[in-house]
Amino acid sequence: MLLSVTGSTAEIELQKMLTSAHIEKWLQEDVFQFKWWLLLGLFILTIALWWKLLNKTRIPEVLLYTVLTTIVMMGIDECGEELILWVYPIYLFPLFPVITAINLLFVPLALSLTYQYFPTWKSFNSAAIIIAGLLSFIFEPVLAWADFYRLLNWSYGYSFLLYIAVALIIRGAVVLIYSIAENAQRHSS
Amino acid sequence: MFFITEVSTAVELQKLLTYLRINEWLQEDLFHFRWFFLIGVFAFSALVWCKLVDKSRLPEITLHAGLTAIITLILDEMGEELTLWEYPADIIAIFPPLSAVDLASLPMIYSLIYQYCKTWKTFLWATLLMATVFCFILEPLLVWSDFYQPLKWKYYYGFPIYITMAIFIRWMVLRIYAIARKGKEKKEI
Repeated sequence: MLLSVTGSTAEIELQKMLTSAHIEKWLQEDVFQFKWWLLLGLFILTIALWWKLLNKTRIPEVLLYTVLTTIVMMGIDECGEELILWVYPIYLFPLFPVITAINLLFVPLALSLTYQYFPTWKSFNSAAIIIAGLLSFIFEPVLAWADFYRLLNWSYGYSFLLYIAVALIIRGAVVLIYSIAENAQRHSS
Repeated sequence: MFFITEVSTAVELQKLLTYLRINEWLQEDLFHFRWFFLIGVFAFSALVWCKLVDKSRLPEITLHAGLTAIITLILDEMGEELTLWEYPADIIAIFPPLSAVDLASLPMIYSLIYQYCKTWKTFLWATLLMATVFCFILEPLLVWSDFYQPLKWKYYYGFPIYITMAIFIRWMVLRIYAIARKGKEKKEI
């Protein structure tokens, strides 16, 4: 019992220190600096481009894909940061940094557009492999080079496999959800 | 140089915190009664949801649940990082904070209310009731059973947040489907 209390208190104290380290660093070195504006611009531009390319008549379906991918990637990204597999040296926002991590933005948006443009499994599989390759072997090295992203115990190859797996599993889930709905509608009508 | 040091302070703190969390989790959570209980809550929520969800509206309801999960995860993690509250037990040691509630119970309850209440008026009454139950019955119960430990938090702080969240997400899903409908009408003309 005593051990539990001590352990828990130590955790809370450490969490306090970590959060204040994040916020302090952010205030002193990140916010309103050139790289911060660059990141913000990249964010807005990416979201605007995604919205432009989004097929509005299919928005519920594509958004469902985006939302599910975001949940999975958010989990993976936060776990990776907690396990020190990678780190984001600059934050748009210092609390729960992962939500404004550039990777978390690009991966769901890129994969959801892939989902929109490639309606069959066969075309989607090839497209997903290409997009995952672009993300992990071109985009991520560029981010690492510009020091927006640092790999600690991670390699681009892992990212590549991970993105392909996520893309396929989420597509499977969305297809399943829509087929269940179609079946149910057919039964009721 | 300074920049690199700052990042490594955060990384070192994160390392320590993660180590502490995993250690405590292995010793005191995993396979203990509370751990099985959380798995039970998770499974029960998922099962009830699958049973009650309107299959013909599955994509819409899942989208709603997904959006709720994202917002809950973000708020919960931020609260934990700001040491507003703490979860002494968890299904998995690292992120998400309280998986059973964040990823299952809360999104499932929210989305079922969305499904059953088709007008704003009934929806608001149901949301009010839900927020009251959450804040003044469920949260004290979680504290009593030591799953949840408010640090700089009061039960009633959550009340407006639960309600705002519900209204915002319902508005968003309705908006998304309205955009899709508009797009389709335009196409037909």
